Amino acid sequence: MVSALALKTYALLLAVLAAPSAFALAEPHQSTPFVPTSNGRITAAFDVAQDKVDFFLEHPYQSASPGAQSRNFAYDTYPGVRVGTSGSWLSAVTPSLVEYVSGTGIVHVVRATLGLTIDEWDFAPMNLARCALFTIVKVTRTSGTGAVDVFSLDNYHLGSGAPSPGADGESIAWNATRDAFYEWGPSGVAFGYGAIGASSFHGSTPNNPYQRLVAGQDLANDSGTSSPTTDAVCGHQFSLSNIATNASAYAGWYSVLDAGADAQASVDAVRTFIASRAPDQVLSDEIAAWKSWSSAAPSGASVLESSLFATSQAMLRMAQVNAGDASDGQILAAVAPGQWNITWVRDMAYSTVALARTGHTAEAKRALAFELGAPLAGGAYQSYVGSPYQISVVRYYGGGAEWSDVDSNGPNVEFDGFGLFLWALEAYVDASNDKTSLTTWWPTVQPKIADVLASLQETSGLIAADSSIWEVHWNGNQKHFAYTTAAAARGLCAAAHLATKLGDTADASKYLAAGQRARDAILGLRAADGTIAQATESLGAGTAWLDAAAIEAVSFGLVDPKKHTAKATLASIQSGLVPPSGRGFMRNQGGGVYDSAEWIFVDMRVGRALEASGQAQPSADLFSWNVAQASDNFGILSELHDRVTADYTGAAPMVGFGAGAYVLSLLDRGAPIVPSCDAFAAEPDEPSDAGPDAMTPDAGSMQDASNSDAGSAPSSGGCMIGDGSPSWLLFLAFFLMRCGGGTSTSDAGTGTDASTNGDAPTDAPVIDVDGGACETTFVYTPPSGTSATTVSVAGEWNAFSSPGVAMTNDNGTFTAKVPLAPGWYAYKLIVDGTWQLDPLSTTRKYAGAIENSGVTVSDCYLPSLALASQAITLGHYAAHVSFVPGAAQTQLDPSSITTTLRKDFSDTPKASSLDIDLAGLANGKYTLFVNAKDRLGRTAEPLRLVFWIEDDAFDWRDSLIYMAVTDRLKNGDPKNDVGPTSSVDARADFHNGDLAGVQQVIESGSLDQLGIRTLWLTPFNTNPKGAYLDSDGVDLVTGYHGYWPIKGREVDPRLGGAAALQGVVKSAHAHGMRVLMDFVVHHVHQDHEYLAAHPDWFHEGCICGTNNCDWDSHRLDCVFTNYLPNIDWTVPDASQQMQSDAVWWFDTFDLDGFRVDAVKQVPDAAVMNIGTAVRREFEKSGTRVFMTGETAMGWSDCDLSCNKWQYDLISHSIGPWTLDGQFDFPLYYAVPMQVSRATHTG
Amino acid sequence: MIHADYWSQASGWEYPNGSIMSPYIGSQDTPRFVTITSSPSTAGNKWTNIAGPPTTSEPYARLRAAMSWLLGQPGAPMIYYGDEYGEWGGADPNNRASWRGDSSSLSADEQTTLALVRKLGQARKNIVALRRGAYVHVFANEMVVVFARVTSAGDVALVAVNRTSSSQLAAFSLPPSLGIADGTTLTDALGGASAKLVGQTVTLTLAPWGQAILAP
Repeated sequence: MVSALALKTYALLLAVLAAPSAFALAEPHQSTPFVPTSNGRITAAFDVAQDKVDFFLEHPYQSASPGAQSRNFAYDTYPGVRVGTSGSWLSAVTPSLVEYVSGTGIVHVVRATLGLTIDEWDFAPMNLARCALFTIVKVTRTSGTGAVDVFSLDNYHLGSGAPSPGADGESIAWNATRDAFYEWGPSGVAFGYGAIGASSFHGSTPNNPYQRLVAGQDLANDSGTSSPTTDAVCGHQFSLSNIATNASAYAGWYSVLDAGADAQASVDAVRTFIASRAPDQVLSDEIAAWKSWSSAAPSGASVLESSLFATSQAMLRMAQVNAGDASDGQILAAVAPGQWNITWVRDMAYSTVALARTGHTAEAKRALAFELGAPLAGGAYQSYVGSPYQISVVRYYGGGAEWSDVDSNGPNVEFDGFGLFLWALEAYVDASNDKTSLTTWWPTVQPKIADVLASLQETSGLIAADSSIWEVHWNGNQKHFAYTTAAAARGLCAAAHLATKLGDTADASKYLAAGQRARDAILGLRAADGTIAQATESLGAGTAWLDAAAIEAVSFGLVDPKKHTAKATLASIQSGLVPPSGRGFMRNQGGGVYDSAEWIFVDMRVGRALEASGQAQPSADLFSWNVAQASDNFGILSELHDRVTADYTGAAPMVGFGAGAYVLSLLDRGAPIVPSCDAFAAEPDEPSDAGPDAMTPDAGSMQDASNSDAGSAPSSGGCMIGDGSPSWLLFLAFFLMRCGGGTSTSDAGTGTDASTNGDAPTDAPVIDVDGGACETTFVYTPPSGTSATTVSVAGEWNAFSSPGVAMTNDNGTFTAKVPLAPGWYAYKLIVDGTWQLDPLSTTRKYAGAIENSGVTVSDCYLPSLALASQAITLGHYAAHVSFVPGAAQTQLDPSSITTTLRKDFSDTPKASSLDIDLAGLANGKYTLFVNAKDRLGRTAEPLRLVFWIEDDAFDWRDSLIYMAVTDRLKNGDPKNDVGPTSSVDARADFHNGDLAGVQQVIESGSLDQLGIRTLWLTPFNTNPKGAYLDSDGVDLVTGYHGYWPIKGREVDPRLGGAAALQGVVKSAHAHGMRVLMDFVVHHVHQDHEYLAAHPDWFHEGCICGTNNCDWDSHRLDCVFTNYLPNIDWTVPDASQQMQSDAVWWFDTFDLDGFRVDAVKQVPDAAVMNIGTAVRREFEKSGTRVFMTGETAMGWSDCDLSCNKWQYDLISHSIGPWTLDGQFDFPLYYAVPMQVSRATHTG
Repeated sequence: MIHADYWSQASGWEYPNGSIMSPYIGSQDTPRFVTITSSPSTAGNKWTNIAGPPTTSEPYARLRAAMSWLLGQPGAPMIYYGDEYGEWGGADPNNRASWRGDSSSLSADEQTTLALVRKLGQARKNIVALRRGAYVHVFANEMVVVFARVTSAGDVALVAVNRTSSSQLAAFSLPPSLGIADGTTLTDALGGASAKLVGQTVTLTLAPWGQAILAP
């Protein structure tokens, strides 16, 4: 294999050469970030960007059970070499080659330094039933002299946390008998690090091997740590003495994980496995074992094709869990760190067939046995499926539990898995002739798979609407997919074949007839030109009905590849689904980023059909493109290629949809497609001169299809994004909202439409969630003095159906983990039968008109940044920021780090480091922004650290507040003056005070003389021109006061606009003064831009204070006057707009707090949602945003009890996520009003 | 001032722990303090028959007493623009006159008021207990209130206000919890006479509508 670096150069050269052409095709190039190795118990990976192993996942799968996250314990581990006294760790030496040893899962890395060539091999031994990673190093001298030593460094993090444990509380101890270190920590697991062959020295914290080698020293033969310490590391040293030029020597070591707290048993098992073998023997034995397992490529395959065939087999093997427990046998859709290291039924079927057909029948059998043995108990989605079943409707947790992914559109329930399982079972039985297992399994297979599938067949022959291959969820998104029916036809005919083998001719006939009906029904899904459409409903909607997955009707041997339907379908795919890269095919026309990437699975399956239909050259081109890409990427096939650059995106290495699909394509190449149901669906023969004119529409079939399905509910069909992938759309909507970009108002709860999606930036990150729900934890503790027996949680994701997800009682605290796609959901707890709000929730979301708790689910596949520590002193800010990988556990790309310091609206770039150290800071307010990405380019939400440098730390109790009506304080800028408004009393008209005037007052020092620390100004939003009637109905008033907003995000030009407000804030901050914005959340003026665009965000009502409309009992529904409609906080879109506006004002003007207007007149959702939105973004460094409010109450001159409700209503809106305090209305009436009067004697 | 003392404490009892309330003596929705005092019957009028400016000094003296109470309160007290010198005006829109705080034409009463409010503000800025301390009842009768703000024993400020038109002699003992030793001299942050704790008792003379902020 060519070196990775050479490949990069090659790709760059091609890109330059190709640039002038408008039709330039993307060229093969290296872009996959990790080269993993696995023995089915753990998965480790060599990081191509970091030149070292920094991934060691405790299980191959992502999640053993709901809520569990497999942990990556490796911070990093790598070899070093020393010649004489010159030492170098090899993580600092760029490899000249990274590859898999052909036909194996052994990673091979070659580097040169210090006159040596160093070969490194990393692998998890396949025949060692332990969680071990072996590293063998071979040193060959090319020049020079001097004694050679090889070093190992093991830096595993065994502290607390998941999926990336910290380095806290680690202990290391040396065991001389076994030439091994043991390490343990708060993670609860232990590691052993031992030598293969005897080591010469060993070292550990406190004498960190890293520094010892750098200093040219020997390791210090440490005995370990004396007490738990942060970030303990260790290593071995192997003295190879003086190697002659062109001579070689070996060293080796291992790390082994033990799930218990003591590594010794695992260390002993590894030592037994190694026995007396030298490192080179261990390596050659491992290579030999792999090669004896691997099957040869079919004849006619090229060298590159054969190599990829071998690596693909290895990938299938490494993706299979081999743990000797309930997880055993399952095949993951991707090998970690690829994010889909989860077992999908569909992907696993393609893998199982590929294994069976390459002669790996033992592995195929274990895969089938896993599914037949999985603890489904009839399945959790029987209400959808209609009867007990044994194949998960989507995928499995590591432990074998069924795992759908549920979002606001309901669960994914996929019926294609039943057919695909039967197809895989047939492939296994055909390859193995294992009738014994078939006989054993049939009593489960028949009732719980084959008969279940038959029962899902409708009278049209189509399988009932489902979520299918692209996982469209439910709640009206389910469709009658061609793919599902094709899989069913293939599977039912396989079942007929298997029943025949068992001598059950009656059932064989039944399944064959059902399979043939399904086969023939596919012809009813054709569009006018003969193309097989995605689904009945998509075709009916008339848009975005083209779906590459429909080609499986051809590949599965149902539709004749030589006849019109196959050719029309291929022609539509070839004309309609080519991405801008010019390479391969997209999955459908939905327009979403996931829809529009190139899919390797689609390439392989379409390529197969193209060849069989007679298009040999396009098929060969497609195939060689993918082989070339994989060859440049270490033999790894990806889930996706970027639609423009063809960079690897999605998950890699992809298995069923990558390696498995490739293996099947190569095996099938050159062979005709044979009918799987005795014959192809009946079509007329193609004329020999078939051309476009010959493609007559098959109107009869169309008619049949629509008639046959007349009873099914219409679907939003073509308005969805092709597959309707709602979880992705939710993510997009959420992302736009969070970034505050534009005025995106997509309701995260309902997805969005195709046109909105089409407006998404084409350079949006492709790495994304597709059905990737994120475990969301709900916790409920009954109030003290009470208890609960049964608690569950239900929400928009399951249409509030009771009881929803049961919460587990652990010593009185109830917990549930619910998988949810990113978005904002309404939900409630059901406590012993009573629906109630979640006391821990910090937002409220209405569903219909009903108030619920709200939960915001972030995209767990994105990494995040967290403030780990911080120190603020005069002139100095220091902080450490942690990078927390996403669920796919992709590590930090250090080159992506940027930090930017903002002060007074001016940005200064700072060091590219997560260790922040800013000195020489003048007093004032600062915001530091930290940005980073992981190695797949997933961007963490920027971390915003707001802090003040000042002589005395500020506390909001220090804030004597000065309130000014800006129009009445001072006219600082005559340019924005306006003349008198006709017919308006001057007292109620503009006085031309402005923000420039406020700034001048601040700078004059008058407020400092008063001891003012906080400034509250009337609202900034632009108010209407002209005058409106006062509450007396007679006199006219203008919007000089600011409480009649007509713009969401504009500073009134009469106040001086945005620049003037920034001037106020800048001067205030220079005087140590905080600025509060007056935020009107109750109403808008009738001229408001939002009212015109979204009339449904507002409501009318009776006028507060009029007959039968008092201020108290109608406080939430009365309007102040007829030209001030109320914001309807029950509308989620309106709520989200107000939240994002609040964040926008804070961000744009560096504000310090809010005074919320008319708190008494708005539902809890208003204050909670705004408070949460702002606090979540601006309080990450602990600088408190001050929120005070106006719950205008009275006071009665009687005892405390008769004023109780006044106090209680004011107190109601005060809390950690809501208001810090409020104006003390009762106290105003009780004291100053009395002191003002001579007569009161109190 | 038993009443004022009681309702100040009530705020401490009734609102959630840790809340930062904002007491105030006037806002954009209330008539100006001096107008409520000078023209109680017309202060609420909006468009016609509106209240004019005070014609005596007493409303300003009462305002200074109220400001002394306000700037001694816990929380984040709010000063409505213009109240620092005694802007006048009845109900909205009369309570929103253009600010004259930087004008050379403030009346003598307004200048006196501004000078006192500045002293109160500086006292609050300089004495931590006055900003962050808990409210502790010390003494109240019909005429006078004395309350303490206490952050910790010895870290204390006393606020004394006379709401009457005559001088008041107040003699009161200090709760031992304040941690002030007998013989300690208490200095008035407003520049008035200092006082001394003798036999755990402070004797204080407050001028008509007068005030003191005493701290060790």
